[in-house]
Amino acid sequence: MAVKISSQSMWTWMFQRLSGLFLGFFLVTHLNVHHLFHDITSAGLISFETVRTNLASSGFWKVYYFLFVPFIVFHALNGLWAIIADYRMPGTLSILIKTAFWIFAAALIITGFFTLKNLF
Amino acid sequence: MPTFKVFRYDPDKNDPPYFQDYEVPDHKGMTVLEALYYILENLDPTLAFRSSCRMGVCGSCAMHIDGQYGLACETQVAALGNKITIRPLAHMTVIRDMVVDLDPFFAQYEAIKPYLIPKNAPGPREYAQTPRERKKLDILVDCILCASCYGSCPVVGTDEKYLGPHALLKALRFIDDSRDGQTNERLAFVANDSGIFRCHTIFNCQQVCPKDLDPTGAIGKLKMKSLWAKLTGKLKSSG
Repeated sequence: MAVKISSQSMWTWMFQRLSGLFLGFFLVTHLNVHHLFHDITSAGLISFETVRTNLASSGFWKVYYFLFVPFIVFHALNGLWAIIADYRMPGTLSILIKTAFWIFAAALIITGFFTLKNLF
Repeated sequence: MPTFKVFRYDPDKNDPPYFQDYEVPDHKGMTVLEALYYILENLDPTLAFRSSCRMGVCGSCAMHIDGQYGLACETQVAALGNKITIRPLAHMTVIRDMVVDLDPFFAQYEAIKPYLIPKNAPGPREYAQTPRERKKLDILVDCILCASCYGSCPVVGTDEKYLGPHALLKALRFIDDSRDGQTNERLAFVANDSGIFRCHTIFNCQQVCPKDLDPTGAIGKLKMKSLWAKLTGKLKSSG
């Protein structure tokens, strides 16, 4: 018979690691594709238009960057929450901070998605 | 002759805690515990500290010695400098000098049920275990409950509900025991909000353990085991 468990900390722990792996993979791919294979910075080609054309060249990048936004927001804010949670605080303050984090996360993701929408 | 700067606190006096210096004549092979006994017997009979076996088995003399948690009976004076600072274990109320209140430490230890809960009712013979099954426990059974790991853990210092490295190491000892029948119940207990997922993998507990045990590694294994149990449906969300 399955035993009951409060699993929220387990999932946040797991997604922190998964998002970390994704971000590591993202950084390596981003640097390789945009700076080693197509070096747009040293060639003096860096501009909104060149970056936009480069990114819009394939649907892959669209998916890639739309995934990047929620992953990095989760990874950063969850990591920050893990530090804050180390300090003892009353339940109401904890709920207030968590709510502020959710609002901040939503604002960051919406801003990120709007920026990407204009880019593609 | 090294100087021992020793933490002093007497709750019967109104004075705040302070440090007192003692000069102790050292000799080859002298341990910090011997130095404390020298102070007690020759310089200051009011000094309070715990000790028993003097050979790294009982775990009574754990304290903060010159920046590192460890057993006073196993720490050589010659390995330290000329000014040696001695403090009690952290995160626990100081009763007097180096003596701290270990009740929270043992309460957390008891919470994980540190005893075998067999799968079946006792039969006419002992519970059998293969040498291979027993070998899995080798790295886990040697804990002497000295509380060095507990004192060094910053999560214990900020979250009084955190189970602590000593209790979590012991939990794995029973989860890994082939004779135990409470694996999922134990995993569910340690995987709560005050358990394994509060650990930041800082490695302090592993670094200070006088028995070279690996509580950090044990907590890592518990995380993977509980995650696997959850993914395979052995643990169910409580809502």
